[in-house]
Amino acid sequence: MAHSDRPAAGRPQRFLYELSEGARRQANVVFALIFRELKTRSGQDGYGLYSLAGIMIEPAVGTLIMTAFYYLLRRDEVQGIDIVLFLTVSMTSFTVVRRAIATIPRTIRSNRAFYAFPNVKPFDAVLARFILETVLTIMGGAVLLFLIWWFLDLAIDMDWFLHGFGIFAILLVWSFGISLFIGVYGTRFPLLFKAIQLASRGLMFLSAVVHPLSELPPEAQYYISWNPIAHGMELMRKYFLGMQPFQDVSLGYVVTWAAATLFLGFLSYYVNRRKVIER
Amino acid sequence: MIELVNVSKYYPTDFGRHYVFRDVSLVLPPDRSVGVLGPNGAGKSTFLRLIGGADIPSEGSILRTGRISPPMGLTPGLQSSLTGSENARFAGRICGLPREEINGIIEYVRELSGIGKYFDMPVASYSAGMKQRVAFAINMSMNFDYYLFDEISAGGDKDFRKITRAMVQERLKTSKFVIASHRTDELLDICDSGIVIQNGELTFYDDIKDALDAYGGDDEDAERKARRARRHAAAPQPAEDGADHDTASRADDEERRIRREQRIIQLQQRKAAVAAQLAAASAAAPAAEEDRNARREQRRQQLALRQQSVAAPVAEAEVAAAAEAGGGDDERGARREQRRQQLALRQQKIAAARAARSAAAAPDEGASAGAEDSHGERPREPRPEAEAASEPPAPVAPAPPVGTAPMARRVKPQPPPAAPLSVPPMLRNFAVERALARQDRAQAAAARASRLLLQHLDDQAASGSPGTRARAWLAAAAQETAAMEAAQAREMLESTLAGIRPAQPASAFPVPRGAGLLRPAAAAPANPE
Repeated sequence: MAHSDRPAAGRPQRFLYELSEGARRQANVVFALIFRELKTRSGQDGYGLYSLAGIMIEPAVGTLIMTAFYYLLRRDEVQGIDIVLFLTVSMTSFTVVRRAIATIPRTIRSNRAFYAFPNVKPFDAVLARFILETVLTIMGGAVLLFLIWWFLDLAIDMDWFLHGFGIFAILLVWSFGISLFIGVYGTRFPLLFKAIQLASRGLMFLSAVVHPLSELPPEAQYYISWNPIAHGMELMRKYFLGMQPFQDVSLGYVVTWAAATLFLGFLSYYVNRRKVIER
Repeated sequence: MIELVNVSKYYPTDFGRHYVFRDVSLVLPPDRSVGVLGPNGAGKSTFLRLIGGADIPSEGSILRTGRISPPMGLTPGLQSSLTGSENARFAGRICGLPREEINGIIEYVRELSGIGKYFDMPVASYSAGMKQRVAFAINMSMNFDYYLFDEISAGGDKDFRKITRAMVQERLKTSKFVIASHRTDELLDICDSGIVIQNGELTFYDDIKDALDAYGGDDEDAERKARRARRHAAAPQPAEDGADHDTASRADDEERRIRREQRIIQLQQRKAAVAAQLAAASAAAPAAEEDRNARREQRRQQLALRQQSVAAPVAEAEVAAAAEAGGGDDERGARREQRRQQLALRQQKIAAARAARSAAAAPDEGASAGAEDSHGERPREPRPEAEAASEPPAPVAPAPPVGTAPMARRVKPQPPPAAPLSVPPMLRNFAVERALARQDRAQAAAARASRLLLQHLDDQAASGSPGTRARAWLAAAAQETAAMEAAQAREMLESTLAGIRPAQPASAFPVPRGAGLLRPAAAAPANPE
């Protein structure tokens, strides 16, 4: 049995042992939940594998639509960057943020039956869905980038790839925090989901996704510059595409927001951990 | 061992906190199976969820050692959109078992649950009993020190009960059970100790019998007897009614009787009316009947007459045909032969006309290849005079028909394409290749057509009247025109290609820059800062 090789209580090895044992158990649960998500997508969108494919092509569809808009406006470049490449980078990362706000939080409710197992917690459900959807979206974005490179000869700047991906990772942290927060309170008060759904519609235009912030009038720039997603987008485009971000862009602002949001998510989960699993 | 230390569990409600139980300290002995008793809603399931770790106590703590199963039973941990086997796989996965072991578990659950093909269908399609079977089997497929069950066999049939009893007895040798149930026999069978949850109090009894006694009305026979007695007592009660109620009901009865009599009278009246109508109809019937019979007879006679008149000529014709049948064969055969010859002639004519037409049309195809279907309304060739059947059928092939009038019209040079086509870069090579291939095909067709036409003309010239000579001359001219037209088409195609090839200037409508094409230097605007 596993308990026989457990270090005695009070020793530092015991702490490490408990930590690794817990991590192993949680990994089991998260993987089980990911496989279950792959099998069926219950809840809001119950179309099985089709909805998984839908997650993968979502960045591509968004890019296509916005490219069409830009062509209708007779424009094919932004600061010397081809509009297709610009939109691919922006839309892929924004899709992760949008799903974290709009769809991932619902997973707490749809996995309810599994909380009868003592080692399955709502947190694991959110984590599993977040990992699954993020990986799928990144895969979709990567395929899209590859196609654009192959057919249109447009490529992102690989010299600063790690910097750009680091900014993306900070956005991911922010997304996970917000999805945990919304998940917990949305499960308790389902009206929140509806309100969020309405609010997330305009988020794309308030986050400088489809245009660089510096193209907006100064007043709009001032208000949108409060949005951490806009900072993240500008920084990512700086590293991936070599674009000039707007004047007041700040990495520290994004990091602070991400940390605060993650803390808020954990806090809300801890405070409501009983109420969330009540039937 | 399971130990509860100052455990309270409450739910916030609109009327303040609802305590399921308050400040409970308790040790469940490791060597005893425990039955949980209590009325509905007392908190038996909550207690099981608490000790199973699926719920968290509001206050206090629960210490658990050993492996404890999830609470299964009436509120099973089955996800309704997954199938039974997927649920079993999930249970195996969260325990971190290797794949082979999980497959073994699934087979075990499939056999033990005994629900056949439903095992591979979503749990949403199960009945309550089937869900319970699967939940029981999943719990039993893994080794636990404590098995928690919420109603172990309440929804199951007799078969299932037999299986559960055998399984539980076998498992009792190594593990212990905590069961919430209302079945006395089951509890006595499995459990050693008992817990009674009632009115927010949780009491532990060392002996299950004491717990059953304390819970009281759980003796089913007594319960049933009491219910029967109560029913008997309740039956005669309506007889003792108040006096005023009595008079009211009597008045009601009177009214109802009067209404019933009225309805009977109405019915009788209606019946009489219908009978009168029937009588009148039957009185009128005989006259009408005779009339109708007479008319029918008349019609029959007319029909017979008509049949005779038709039959006579048919019979006559048949007789005549029979008489003729002896000697008419030769004549008919000759006629048939004649018709066959005519048909062959006509086929020949048609073939010749088709050849001529294809010769005339081939250059035209070359022209339309260059102009990209601008010529879609091309009129059909008029039928040649030879085919109009005005001439008598002759063994000689007719002169080559040439549609001169449409030819003459089409000789006019076509307007060159107004603007160079803007084709997406991905499609450019494809479009060019397609156009070239089409051009080649048109050339080949024209050549073939001209060869055929020339052969034909030679034949005609060798033995022909002045008319055929004239037609041959016209055909030659048309041939020449066709060649000219093909050359023109070629020219037009070249100009189209020339319009496509260079990249668009930046001021035009933006076209995505394609692979292998020169990428113009992007005009980078000065940054605002």
